[in-house]
Amino acid sequence: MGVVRLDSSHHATAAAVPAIRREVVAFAEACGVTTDVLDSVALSVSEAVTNVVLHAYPDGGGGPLHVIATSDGDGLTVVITDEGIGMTPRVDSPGLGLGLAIIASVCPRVDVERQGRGTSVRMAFEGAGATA
Amino acid sequence: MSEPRDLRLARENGTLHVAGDLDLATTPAFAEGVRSAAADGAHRLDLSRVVFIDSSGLRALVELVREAPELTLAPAVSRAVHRLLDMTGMLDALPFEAPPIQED
Repeated sequence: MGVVRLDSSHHATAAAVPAIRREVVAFAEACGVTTDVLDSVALSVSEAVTNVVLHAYPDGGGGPLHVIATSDGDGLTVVITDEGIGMTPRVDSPGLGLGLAIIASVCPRVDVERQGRGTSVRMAFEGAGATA
Repeated sequence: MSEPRDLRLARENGTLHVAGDLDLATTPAFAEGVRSAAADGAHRLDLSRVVFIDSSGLRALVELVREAPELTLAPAVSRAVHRLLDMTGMLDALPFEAPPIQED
């Protein structure tokens, strides 16, 4: 099995959270990711996209959000990138401040990178391609 | 009340049954539905059909419990709910009628 890739762009609003979660889970499922790992993928992607909506674009108007997911048969990597102001803490945050902690609990490897403009969250999962 | 298609709320006597997803997209309708049901005397939440929940859903739940101390939670919860509450150390922090158990 070669490397397969999902590449999509969205406008980061609340409605994008379930849309992107389902898109990535469907891709992961097609790559042969096991059910337990699928649950972790769904939760991690939901938290990462929620962070973008709440913290990268705090005025509520949303902004660009890019999703790249790749699978090489052994693992699945999902990268969520925005073009916003970064993960600035909000005293009025609608979240519990748990997003990254939850990702770290269910994702074997997570890296957050502040780029020239925007933030990139890279999440790597094992268990892909077991049946592919 | 219009609800996002991924969230379904149904009242049965004093219980509000919650089904579907609890995330950033659905929590406003979830909160509105719980407040509306509570105003009509339904103070019990059944989370056994919640397919997905993340920290946005958890935050909504915590806020609703804080503002309505009479709210209780049925102990049978879905795998998704049990997993997140366990992971975040919230299993003992919410007003379950009995220790929560995973239903599926």
